[in-house]
Amino acid sequence: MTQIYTSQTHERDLVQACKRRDRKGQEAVFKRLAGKMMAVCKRYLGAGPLAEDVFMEGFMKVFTKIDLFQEQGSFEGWVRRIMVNEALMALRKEGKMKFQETDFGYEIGQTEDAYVNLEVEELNKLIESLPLGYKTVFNLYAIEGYTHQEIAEMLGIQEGTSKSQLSRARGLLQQKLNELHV
Amino acid sequence: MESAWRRKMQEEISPIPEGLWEKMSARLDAEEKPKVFFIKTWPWAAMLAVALGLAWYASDTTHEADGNVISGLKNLPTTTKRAARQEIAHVRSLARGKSRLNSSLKNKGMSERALVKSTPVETIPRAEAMQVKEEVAIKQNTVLPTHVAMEKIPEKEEVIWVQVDIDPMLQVKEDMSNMAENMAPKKRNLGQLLKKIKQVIKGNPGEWSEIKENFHLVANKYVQTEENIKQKFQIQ
Repeated sequence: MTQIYTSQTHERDLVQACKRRDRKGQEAVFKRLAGKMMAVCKRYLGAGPLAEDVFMEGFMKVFTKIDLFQEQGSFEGWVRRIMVNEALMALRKEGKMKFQETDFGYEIGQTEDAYVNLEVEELNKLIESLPLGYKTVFNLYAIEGYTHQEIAEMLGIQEGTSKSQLSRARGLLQQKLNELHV
Repeated sequence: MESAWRRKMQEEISPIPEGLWEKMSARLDAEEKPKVFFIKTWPWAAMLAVALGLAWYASDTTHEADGNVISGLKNLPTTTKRAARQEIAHVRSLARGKSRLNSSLKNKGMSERALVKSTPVETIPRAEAMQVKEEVAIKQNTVLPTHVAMEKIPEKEEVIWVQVDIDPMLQVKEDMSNMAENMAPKKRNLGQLLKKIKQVIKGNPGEWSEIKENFHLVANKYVQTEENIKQKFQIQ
Protein backbone atom coordinates (compact mmCIF):
# COMPACT_ATOMS: atom_id res chain seq x y z
CA MET A 1 0.00 0.00 0.00
CA THR A 2 1.44 3.36 -1.04
CA GLN A 3 1.16 6.06 1.63
CA ILE A 4 0.37 9.61 0.59
CA TYR A 5 2.34 12.37 2.27
CA THR A 6 1.02 15.92 2.36
CA SER A 7 2.20 19.18 3.88
CA GLN A 8 0.11 18.26 6.90
CA THR A 9 1.89 14.96 7.51
CA HIS A 10 3.67 14.91 10.84
CA GLU A 11 7.44 15.28 10.84
CA ARG A 12 7.81 12.00 12.78
CA ASP A 13 5.95 10.05 10.08
CA LEU A 14 8.15 11.55 7.41
CA VAL A 15 11.27 10.57 9.33
CA GLN A 16 9.97 7.00 9.65
CA ALA A 17 9.26 6.94 5.93
CA CYS A 18 12.79 8.14 5.22
CA LYS A 19 14.19 5.45 7.48
CA ARG A 20 12.27 2.86 5.44
CA ARG A 21 13.87 4.36 2.32
CA ASP A 22 10.35 5.22 1.13
CA ARG A 23 10.94 7.40 -1.89
CA LYS A 24 7.62 9.23 -1.53
CA GLY A 25 8.43 10.06 2.07
CA GLN A 26 11.87 11.29 1.05
CA GLU A 27 10.29 13.45 -1.62
CA ALA A 28 7.90 14.93 0.90
CA VAL A 29 10.80 15.78 3.25
CA PHE A 30 12.76 17.26 0.37
CA LYS A 31 9.87 19.46 -0.73
CA ARG A 32 9.17 20.59 2.80
CA LEU A 33 12.72 21.57 3.71
CA ALA A 34 14.38 22.31 0.36
CA GLY A 35 13.62 26.06 0.28
CA LYS A 36 14.90 26.70 3.80
CA MET A 37 18.03 24.59 3.30
CA MET A 38 18.81 26.27 0.01
CA ALA A 39 18.63 29.61 1.87
CA VAL A 40 21.11 28.31 4.43
CA CYS A 41 23.52 27.20 1.71
CA LYS A 42 23.25 30.50 -0.13
CA ARG A 43 23.83 32.45 3.08
CA TYR A 44 27.19 30.76 3.56
CA LEU A 45 28.26 30.26 -0.04
CA GLY A 46 26.39 32.90 -2.00
CA ALA A 47 24.04 32.27 -4.89
CA GLY A 48 25.79 30.00 -7.31
CA PRO A 49 26.49 26.44 -8.38
CA LEU A 50 28.56 25.71 -5.27
CA ALA A 51 25.54 26.38 -3.04
CA GLU A 52 23.47 24.02 -5.17
CA ASP A 53 26.10 21.29 -5.03
CA VAL A 54 26.36 21.61 -1.26
CA PHE A 55 22.57 21.53 -1.01
CA MET A 56 22.48 18.24 -2.95
CA GLU A 57 25.30 16.72 -0.94
CA GLY A 58 23.59 17.79 2.27
CA PHE A 59 20.32 16.13 1.34
CA MET A 60 22.13 12.99 0.22
CA LYS A 61 23.69 12.82 3.65
CA VAL A 62 20.31 13.41 5.29
CA PHE A 63 18.73 10.48 3.43
CA THR A 64 21.66 8.09 3.76
CA LYS A 65 22.39 8.88 7.44
CA ILE A 66 18.78 9.17 8.56
CA ASP A 67 19.22 6.16 10.86
CA LEU A 68 21.57 8.28 13.01
CA PHE A 69 18.78 10.73 13.80
CA GLN A 70 17.63 9.90 17.33
CA GLU A 71 14.25 11.72 17.02
CA GLN A 72 14.90 13.57 20.28
CA GLY A 73 15.28 17.07 18.83
CA SER A 74 13.91 18.87 15.83
CA PHE A 75 14.35 17.07 12.55
CA GLU A 76 14.60 20.38 10.73
CA GLY A 77 17.34 21.46 13.13
CA TRP A 78 19.23 18.22 12.44
CA VAL A 79 18.95 18.78 8.68
CA ARG A 80 20.01 22.41 9.04
CA ARG A 81 23.04 21.35 11.05
CA ILE A 82 24.06 18.95 8.30
CA MET A 83 23.69 21.70 5.71
CA VAL A 84 25.80 24.13 7.73
CA ASN A 85 28.53 21.52 8.19
CA GLU A 86 28.50 20.74 4.48
CA ALA A 87 28.75 24.45 3.67
CA LEU A 88 31.70 24.89 6.02
CA MET A 89 33.43 21.85 4.54
CA ALA A 90 32.96 23.30 1.09
CA LEU A 91 34.47 26.62 2.21
CA ARG A 92 37.41 24.76 3.73
CA LYS A 93 37.93 22.83 0.51
CA GLU A 94 37.86 26.05 -1.47
CA GLY A 95 40.54 27.45 0.82
CA LYS A 96 38.46 30.47 1.66
CA MET A 97 38.38 29.99 5.40
CA LYS A 98 40.94 32.55 6.56
CA PHE A 99 40.52 34.41 9.79
CA GLN A 100 42.56 37.36 10.89
CA GLU A 101 43.17 37.78 14.58
CA THR A 102 41.78 41.08 15.82
CA ASP A 103 42.23 42.31 19.35
CA PHE A 104 39.75 45.08 19.14
CA GLY A 105 36.03 44.97 18.87
CA TYR A 106 33.12 47.16 18.03
CA GLU A 107 30.37 47.89 20.43
CA ILE A 108 26.99 47.87 18.78
CA GLY A 109 25.26 51.09 19.43
CA GLN A 110 21.63 51.55 20.23
CA THR A 111 19.44 49.59 17.90
CA GLU A 112 16.61 51.21 16.09
CA ASP A 113 13.28 49.65 15.21
CA ALA A 114 13.96 50.44 11.60
CA TYR A 115 16.89 47.99 11.59
CA VAL A 116 14.73 45.31 13.15
CA ASN A 117 12.09 45.79 10.50
CA LEU A 118 14.54 45.29 7.65
CA GLU A 119 13.31 42.85 5.06
CA VAL A 120 15.06 39.54 4.62
CA GLU A 121 16.43 40.55 1.22
CA GLU A 122 18.02 43.65 2.72
CA LEU A 123 19.42 41.64 5.58
CA ASN A 124 20.89 39.12 3.18
CA LYS A 125 22.48 41.90 1.16
CA LEU A 126 24.02 43.35 4.30
CA ILE A 127 25.37 40.01 5.48
CA GLU A 128 26.56 39.12 1.98
CA SER A 129 28.60 42.34 1.88
CA LEU A 130 30.67 41.23 4.88
CA PRO A 131 34.09 39.62 4.45
CA LEU A 132 33.87 35.83 4.43
CA GLY A 133 35.31 35.24 7.88
CA TYR A 134 33.02 37.83 9.53
CA LYS A 135 30.03 36.60 7.56
CA THR A 136 30.59 32.98 8.54
CA VAL A 137 30.98 33.68 12.23
CA PHE A 138 28.02 36.09 12.19
CA ASN A 139 25.82 33.52 10.44
CA LEU A 140 26.84 30.78 12.86
CA TYR A 141 26.40 32.91 15.97
CA ALA A 142 23.61 35.33 15.19
CA ILE A 143 21.47 33.32 12.76
CA GLU A 144 22.09 29.65 13.66
CA GLY A 145 22.58 30.22 17.36
CA TYR A 146 25.87 28.40 17.96
CA THR A 147 28.03 29.41 20.90
CA HIS A 148 31.59 30.72 20.43
CA GLN A 149 32.95 27.45 21.74
CA GLU A 150 30.98 25.48 19.15
CA ILE A 151 32.01 27.90 16.39
CA ALA A 152 35.66 27.58 17.42
CA GLU A 153 35.41 23.79 17.19
CA MET A 154 33.56 23.86 13.88
CA LEU A 155 36.00 26.24 12.23
CA GLY A 156 39.15 25.08 13.99
CA ILE A 157 39.91 28.47 15.44
CA GLN A 158 40.36 29.98 18.86
CA GLU A 159 37.27 31.00 20.77
CA GLY A 160 38.68 34.52 21.02
CA THR A 161 39.05 34.64 17.28
CA SER A 162 35.39 33.76 16.90
CA LYS A 163 34.46 36.56 19.30
CA SER A 164 36.61 39.15 17.59
CA GLN A 165 35.31 38.12 14.17
CA LEU A 166 31.75 38.54 15.40
CA SER A 167 32.60 41.91 16.90
CA ARG A 168 34.10 43.10 13.63
CA ALA A 169 31.08 41.80 11.72
CA ARG A 170 28.72 43.67 14.01
CA GLY A 171 30.72 46.87 13.64
CA LEU A 172 30.66 46.65 9.88
CA LEU A 173 26.93 45.93 9.84
CA GLN A 174 26.30 48.95 12.08
CA GLN A 175 28.31 51.07 9.75
CA LYS A 176 26.39 49.82 6.71
CA LEU A 177 23.02 50.30 8.42
CA ASN A 178 23.97 53.85 9.25
CA GLU A 179 24.90 54.44 5.66
CA LEU A 180 21.52 53.09 4.55
CA HIS A 181 19.63 55.59 6.67
CA VAL A 182 21.72 58.64 6.01
CA MET B 1 17.89 43.05 16.89
CA GLU B 2 19.89 39.85 16.21
CA SER B 3 17.17 37.59 17.61
CA ALA B 4 14.66 39.35 15.37
CA TRP B 5 16.98 38.80 12.42
CA ARG B 6 17.43 35.16 13.44
CA ARG B 7 13.69 34.52 13.37
CA LYS B 8 13.37 36.10 9.98
CA MET B 9 16.42 34.41 8.47
CA GLN B 10 15.51 30.97 9.74
CA GLU B 11 12.13 31.18 8.04
CA GLU B 12 13.63 32.36 4.79
CA ILE B 13 12.83 30.19 1.79
CA SER B 14 14.92 30.24 -1.38
CA PRO B 15 13.50 29.20 -4.72
CA ILE B 16 14.51 25.70 -5.82
CA PRO B 17 15.57 25.09 -9.42
CA GLU B 18 13.42 22.72 -11.45
CA GLY B 19 14.27 19.05 -11.54
CA LEU B 20 16.36 19.05 -8.39
CA TRP B 21 14.30 16.29 -6.78
CA GLU B 22 14.64 14.12 -9.92
CA LYS B 23 18.40 14.50 -9.69
CA MET B 24 18.29 13.62 -6.02
CA SER B 25 16.09 10.61 -6.69
CA ALA B 26 18.46 9.35 -9.39
CA ARG B 27 21.41 9.71 -7.02
CA LEU B 28 19.54 7.85 -4.31
CA ASP B 29 18.76 5.06 -6.79
CA ALA B 30 22.40 4.85 -7.76
CA GLU B 31 23.38 4.79 -4.10
CA GLU B 32 21.03 1.95 -3.28
CA LYS B 33 21.68 -0.11 -6.42
CA PRO B 34 24.92 -1.83 -5.36
CA LYS B 35 23.25 -3.18 -2.24
CA VAL B 36 20.33 -4.57 -4.26
CA PHE B 37 22.77 -6.08 -6.74
CA PHE B 38 24.67 -7.70 -3.93
CA ILE B 39 21.50 -9.10 -2.38
CA LYS B 40 20.40 -10.48 -5.72
CA THR B 41 23.76 -11.92 -6.64
CA TRP B 42 24.90 -13.46 -3.38
CA PRO B 43 22.78 -16.62 -3.80
CA TRP B 44 24.40 -17.08 -7.20
CA ALA B 45 27.81 -16.60 -5.65
CA ALA B 46 26.94 -19.17 -3.00
CA MET B 47 25.79 -21.64 -5.66
CA LEU B 48 28.98 -21.09 -7.61
CA ALA B 49 31.03 -21.69 -4.48
CA VAL B 50 29.14 -24.93 -3.80
CA ALA B 51 29.65 -26.07 -7.42
CA LEU B 52 33.38 -25.35 -7.16
CA GLY B 53 33.52 -27.26 -3.91
CA LEU B 54 31.78 -30.26 -5.48
CA ALA B 55 34.12 -30.15 -8.47
CA TRP B 56 37.09 -30.11 -6.13
CA TYR B 57 35.65 -33.02 -4.17
CA ALA B 58 35.07 -34.97 -7.39
CA SER B 59 38.65 -34.39 -8.54
CA ASP B 60 39.83 -35.53 -5.14
CA THR B 61 37.86 -38.79 -5.44
CA THR B 62 39.38 -39.32 -8.92
CA HIS B 63 42.80 -39.08 -7.31
CA GLU B 64 41.70 -41.64 -4.78
CA ALA B 65 40.61 -43.92 -7.65
CA ASP B 66 44.07 -43.51 -9.21
CA GLY B 67 45.58 -44.52 -5.91
CA ASN B 68 43.39 -47.59 -5.88
CA VAL B 69 44.62 -48.57 -9.37
CA ILE B 70 48.23 -48.25 -8.28
CA SER B 71 47.61 -50.26 -5.17
CA GLY B 72 45.84 -52.83 -7.38
CA LEU B 73 48.97 -53.02 -9.50
CA LYS B 74 51.00 -53.79 -6.43
CA ASN B 75 48.57 -56.53 -5.50
CA LEU B 76 48.71 -58.26 -8.87
CA PRO B 77 48.84 -62.06 -8.85
CA THR B 78 52.33 -63.55 -8.90
CA THR B 79 51.81 -65.30 -12.25
CA THR B 80 50.99 -62.03 -13.96
CA LYS B 81 54.05 -60.41 -12.40
CA ARG B 82 56.26 -63.23 -13.61
CA ALA B 83 54.87 -62.99 -17.12
CA ALA B 84 55.48 -59.27 -17.13
CA ARG B 85 59.06 -59.73 -15.95
CA GLN B 86 59.71 -62.32 -18.65
CA GLU B 87 58.38 -60.04 -21.32
CA ILE B 88 60.55 -57.16 -20.10
CA ALA B 89 63.63 -59.40 -20.01
CA HIS B 90 62.92 -60.55 -23.56
CA VAL B 91 62.61 -56.99 -24.81
CA ARG B 92 65.81 -56.01 -23.03
CA SER B 93 67.75 -58.91 -24.56
CA LEU B 94 66.54 -57.94 -28.01
CA ALA B 95 67.63 -54.37 -27.45
CA ARG B 96 71.03 -55.54 -26.13
CA GLY B 97 71.53 -57.70 -29.21
CA LYS B 98 70.75 -54.78 -31.43
CA SER B 99 73.27 -52.53 -29.69
CA ARG B 100 75.91 -55.26 -29.89
CA LEU B 101 75.31 -55.59 -33.61
CA ASN B 102 75.70 -51.86 -34.06
CA SER B 103 78.94 -51.73 -32.10
CA SER B 104 80.33 -54.68 -34.02
CA LEU B 105 79.56 -52.97 -37.29
CA LYS B 106 81.29 -49.82 -36.13
CA ASN B 107 84.40 -51.64 -35.00
CA LYS B 108 84.51 -53.78 -38.10
CA GLY B 109 87.90 -52.49 -39.28
CA MET B 110 89.60 -53.01 -35.95
CA SER B 111 88.19 -56.48 -35.48
CA GLU B 112 89.22 -57.46 -38.99
CA ARG B 113 92.81 -56.35 -38.35
CA ALA B 114 92.94 -58.29 -35.13
CA LEU B 115 91.53 -61.32 -36.88
CA VAL B 116 94.17 -61.11 -39.57
CA LYS B 117 96.97 -60.94 -37.04
CA SER B 118 95.74 -63.67 -34.74
CA THR B 119 94.31 -66.18 -37.20
CA PRO B 120 95.84 -67.60 -40.35
CA VAL B 121 93.97 -67.04 -43.56
CA GLU B 122 93.31 -70.75 -44.06
CA THR B 123 91.61 -71.14 -40.66
CA ILE B 124 88.93 -68.55 -41.34
CA PRO B 125 85.75 -70.57 -41.74
CA ARG B 126 83.83 -70.11 -44.88
CA ALA B 127 80.98 -68.12 -43.67
CA GLU B 128 78.05 -68.05 -45.84
CA ALA B 129 76.43 -64.79 -46.78
CA MET B 130 74.59 -63.83 -43.75
CA GLN B 131 71.25 -62.23 -44.00
CA VAL B 132 70.40 -60.45 -40.83
CA LYS B 133 66.91 -59.45 -40.65
CA GLU B 134 66.04 -58.49 -37.21
CA GLU B 135 62.71 -57.43 -36.10
CA VAL B 136 62.48 -55.99 -32.72
CA ALA B 137 58.97 -55.42 -31.73
CA ILE B 138 58.62 -53.93 -28.35
CA LYS B 139 55.15 -54.40 -27.19
CA GLN B 140 55.36 -53.20 -23.68
CA ASN B 141 51.75 -53.69 -22.76
CA THR B 142 51.14 -57.07 -24.34
CA VAL B 143 51.17 -58.99 -21.12
CA LEU B 144 50.23 -56.44 -18.56
CA PRO B 145 46.55 -55.91 -17.88
CA THR B 146 44.95 -52.93 -19.54
CA HIS B 147 44.61 -50.76 -16.43
CA VAL B 148 48.18 -51.56 -15.41
CA ALA B 149 49.43 -50.63 -18.83
CA MET B 150 47.62 -47.32 -18.67
CA GLU B 151 49.18 -46.47 -15.37
CA LYS B 152 52.69 -47.80 -15.76
CA ILE B 153 53.49 -47.43 -19.44
CA PRO B 154 51.72 -44.50 -20.93
CA GLU B 155 53.73 -44.57 -24.19
CA LYS B 156 52.21 -45.90 -27.36
CA GLU B 157 53.23 -49.20 -28.88
CA GLU B 158 56.69 -48.76 -30.33
CA VAL B 159 57.83 -50.95 -33.20
CA ILE B 160 61.47 -50.80 -34.27
CA TRP B 161 62.50 -52.43 -37.51
CA VAL B 162 66.19 -53.03 -38.09
CA GLN B 163 67.17 -54.62 -41.39
CA VAL B 164 70.85 -55.31 -42.03
CA ASP B 165 71.60 -56.76 -45.46
CA ILE B 166 75.36 -57.18 -45.60
CA ASP B 167 77.91 -59.94 -46.03
CA PRO B 168 80.59 -58.99 -43.54
CA MET B 169 82.55 -62.22 -43.70
CA LEU B 170 82.88 -62.11 -47.46
CA GLN B 171 84.27 -58.61 -47.23
CA VAL B 172 86.66 -59.64 -44.51
CA LYS B 173 87.87 -62.54 -46.66
CA GLU B 174 88.66 -60.22 -49.59
CA ASP B 175 90.44 -57.74 -47.38
CA MET B 176 92.47 -60.40 -45.72
CA SER B 177 93.63 -61.92 -48.98
CA ASN B 178 94.78 -58.50 -50.16
CA MET B 179 96.52 -57.74 -46.94
CA ALA B 180 98.17 -61.16 -46.82
CA GLU B 181 99.61 -60.52 -50.27
CA ASN B 182 100.92 -57.16 -49.19
CA MET B 183 102.22 -58.33 -45.86
CA ALA B 184 104.55 -61.01 -47.21
CA PRO B 185 106.82 -58.72 -49.27
CA LYS B 186 106.54 -56.10 -46.62
CA LYS B 187 107.82 -58.54 -44.04
CA ARG B 188 110.48 -59.73 -46.40
CA ASN B 189 111.69 -56.22 -47.22
CA LEU B 190 111.56 -55.16 -43.62
CA GLY B 191 113.41 -58.28 -42.51
CA GLN B 192 116.14 -57.75 -45.04
CA LEU B 193 116.48 -54.15 -44.07
CA LEU B 194 116.74 -55.00 -40.37
CA LYS B 195 119.25 -57.73 -41.14
CA LYS B 196 121.44 -55.32 -43.07
CA ILE B 197 121.24 -52.70 -40.34
CA LYS B 198 122.27 -55.29 -37.75
CA GLN B 199 125.26 -56.25 -39.85
CA VAL B 200 126.32 -52.63 -40.10
CA ILE B 201 126.03 -52.27 -36.33
CA LYS B 202 128.12 -55.42 -35.79
CA GLY B 203 130.87 -53.84 -37.88
CA ASN B 204 130.23 -55.66 -41.13
CA PRO B 205 129.65 -52.92 -43.64
CA GLY B 206 127.41 -53.86 -46.56
CA GLU B 207 126.26 -52.20 -49.70
CA TRP B 208 124.76 -48.82 -48.93
CA SER B 209 122.77 -48.87 -52.15
CA GLU B 210 121.03 -52.13 -51.09
CA ILE B 211 120.17 -50.74 -47.69
CA LYS B 212 118.84 -47.62 -49.33
CA GLU B 213 116.79 -49.68 -51.80
CA ASN B 214 115.33 -51.83 -49.01
CA PHE B 215 114.52 -48.74 -47.04
CA HIS B 216 112.65 -47.27 -50.00
CA LEU B 217 110.77 -50.51 -50.58
CA VAL B 218 109.67 -50.69 -46.96
CA ALA B 219 108.57 -47.04 -47.05
CA ASN B 220 106.66 -47.52 -50.30
CA LYS B 221 104.88 -50.57 -48.95
CA TYR B 222 103.99 -48.74 -45.85
CA VAL B 223 102.52 -45.86 -47.82
CA GLN B 224 100.66 -48.23 -50.15
CA THR B 225 99.18 -50.20 -47.30
CA GLU B 226 98.09 -47.06 -45.57
CA GLU B 227 96.33 -45.83 -48.69
CA ASN B 228 94.63 -49.18 -49.16
CA ILE B 229 93.33 -49.13 -45.62
CA LYS B 230 92.13 -45.60 -46.07
CA GLN B 231 90.29 -46.49 -49.24
CA LYS B 232 88.72 -49.56 -47.68
CA PHE B 233 87.35 -47.82 -44.67
CA GLN B 234 86.89 -44.47 -46.31
CA ILE B 235 89.01 -42.71 -43.75
CA GLN B 236 89.65 -39.09 -44.64
